[in-house]
Amino acid sequence: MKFEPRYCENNVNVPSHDHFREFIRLSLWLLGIIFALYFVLGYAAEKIAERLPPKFEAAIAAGITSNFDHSDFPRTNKYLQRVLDSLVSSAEGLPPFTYKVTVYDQAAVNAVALPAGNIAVFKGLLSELKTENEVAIILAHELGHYAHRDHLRGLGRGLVLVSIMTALGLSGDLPGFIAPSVQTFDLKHSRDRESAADRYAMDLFVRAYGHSGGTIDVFKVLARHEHGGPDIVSTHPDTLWRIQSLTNYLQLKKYPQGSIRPLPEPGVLPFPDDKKGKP
Amino acid sequence: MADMITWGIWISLFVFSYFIGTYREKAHLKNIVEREKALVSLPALTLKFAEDRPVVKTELVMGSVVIGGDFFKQTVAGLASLFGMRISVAEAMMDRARREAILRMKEKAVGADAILNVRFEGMKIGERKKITGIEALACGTAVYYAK
Repeated sequence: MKFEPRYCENNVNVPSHDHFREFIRLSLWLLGIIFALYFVLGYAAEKIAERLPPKFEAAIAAGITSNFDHSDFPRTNKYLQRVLDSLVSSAEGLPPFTYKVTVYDQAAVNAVALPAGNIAVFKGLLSELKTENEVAIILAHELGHYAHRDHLRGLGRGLVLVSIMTALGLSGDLPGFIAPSVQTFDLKHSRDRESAADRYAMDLFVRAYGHSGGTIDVFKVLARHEHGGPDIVSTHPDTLWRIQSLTNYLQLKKYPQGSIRPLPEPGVLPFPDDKKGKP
Repeated sequence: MADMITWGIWISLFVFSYFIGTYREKAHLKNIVEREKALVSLPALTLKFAEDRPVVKTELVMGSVVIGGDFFKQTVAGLASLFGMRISVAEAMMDRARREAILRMKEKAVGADAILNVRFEGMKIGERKKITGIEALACGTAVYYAK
């Protein structure tokens, strides 16, 4: 057998050494798949959540509702529950949950509608409220989220987002500068939902109290706590805009102004000397 | 802020690793081609018997090389493995390693007429999914025929 030395310049084993192009191609694939998944699954989750029967929701939430059995401020909590109950009794279109409000000792100026009728109110917001009208409009706003099933929609999308992140090994933690851009996709929806909940709250308040007095004030409280960020990166629509649109809504509906009902003695929330765990 | 720093480090490492890795790969390939051309007249075959001539000496010759998988390549390989695509960065790395291993084996067989029964081995170095590096080993029997 004869051996003839021959050098082959062409390398069939490595078609390309352009690794950067490969990286771009793969990244685009990945991004495309993530967006497709997020939109498809997110949409599906939203649709499923909207149609989730209240009974089923209550059953799912049963696992976590034990957390809502204790309150950081029992006496304050009792008062809020009374206001909430009177609102619920005159509300329309609410899913049949046992509505429960719980006060938490946290500085956040916020309130949240959690699954199965559990409303969480944070001390930060509570201590800003000066009248029963303000308390009622906040609770009515959260009831509005239940009436529109908003609390579940957010949950479904959030679940999809967290699942995708976990699958990618990001363990649910988005880097700070990416997170806002991802959330921006949902903000348009979110703002519309907040406005809708505002209008629902106003209607409900008028039905329960017979007038609309002292309700706009609470949004001024919120305005003071706005971070001053641009309009688009805030979940709750720019509060000034919110005040304006609600005032317009009031004029349109011709709701009467009425008396402001003070808070029960001593007139501050949470009530002083009201702290859990005191022996 | 802490996120920014972590991701800043990650991205600069990625970019840095890309440029260094590309430069090293090009330089290595150029070197490999030169040496391959110089050693092309020494056959390295998988045959066990090539020529019917008296053999005066045989010898085991081996060449092995370990090439590090840089950060950029690991990331791209990770992405490609998500979709089951060809991992071209790894193809290029394995190719370099195998060719370098053959060259080292040939360089070991000084004055031999042929290297017969050549075998290859490849191995990944690194925990689980991580590719810290790859090893390629070529070995064969260097044959010296009677003159």
